[in-house]
Amino acid sequence: MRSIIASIAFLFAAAGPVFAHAHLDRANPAVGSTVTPAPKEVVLWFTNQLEPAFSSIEVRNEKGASVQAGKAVVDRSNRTRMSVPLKSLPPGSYKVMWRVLSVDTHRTQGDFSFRVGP
Amino acid sequence: MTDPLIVVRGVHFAGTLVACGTVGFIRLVAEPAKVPSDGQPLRNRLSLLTLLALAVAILSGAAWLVLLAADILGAPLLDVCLHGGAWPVLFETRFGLVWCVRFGVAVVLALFLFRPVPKAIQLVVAALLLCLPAMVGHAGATPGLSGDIHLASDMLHLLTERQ
Repeated sequence: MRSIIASIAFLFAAAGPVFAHAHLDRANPAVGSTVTPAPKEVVLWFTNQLEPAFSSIEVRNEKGASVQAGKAVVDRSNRTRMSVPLKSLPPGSYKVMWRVLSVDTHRTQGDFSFRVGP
Repeated sequence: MTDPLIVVRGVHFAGTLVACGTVGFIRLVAEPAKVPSDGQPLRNRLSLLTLLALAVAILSGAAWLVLLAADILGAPLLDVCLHGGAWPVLFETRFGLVWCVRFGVAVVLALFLFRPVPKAIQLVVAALLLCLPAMVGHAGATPGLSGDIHLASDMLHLLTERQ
């Protein structure tokens, strides 16, 4: 009986804050960074697990043209990780726009930029 | 103005809690208390209450799915209803998977009211109906060990609400 009570107490005591939406945790290339050589893909990590069918990434150059080489994919073994392959990027500034649906059915979106150095 | 999704979810959880709580009361309180032979009308009334609560839970669950699909797709409610907009949400998300499983569980729980079923099986089925929404809540979306602990806490919380 004591062990049951202790287990239940642990479940409640161990509970920390829960974030209700998927926010961008980190990115590669990093937000606002300048990278050399040009990356072959953009990888984003989120704070919540994502729904692959309703999550996407778009990468555009300074002229607004899409520079993706394929569709964004959510990693099946780590559903907080989403990546998109890129075409060969010349030096310049690029904007990454993401829209995701987390498993708890909340939608979020955002964007950031990075630069490819000469 | 109150978001209809909040209202529908509230109604859904109320229906689910009443249905599962009544099943728990019948099997864990009324039966062990050996309600006398004239207790059959009471049992019938409780079964009817369970059935009505399950009907409310199923109908509000359907409304929840349609409203959520309209929200996710950013489409008008009428378009979602007329053009099958709910299917991608139903078949391509964890919410949809949990929705399908819980719909089946609710139907099974309703059928159990009309035939003798072992107590443990009926209670486990009722617990499933009650606990599964935690999989698509905030805790279910949280990754790693922290998410697992939150999920267990949420499920325990839902179960204790039934009592």
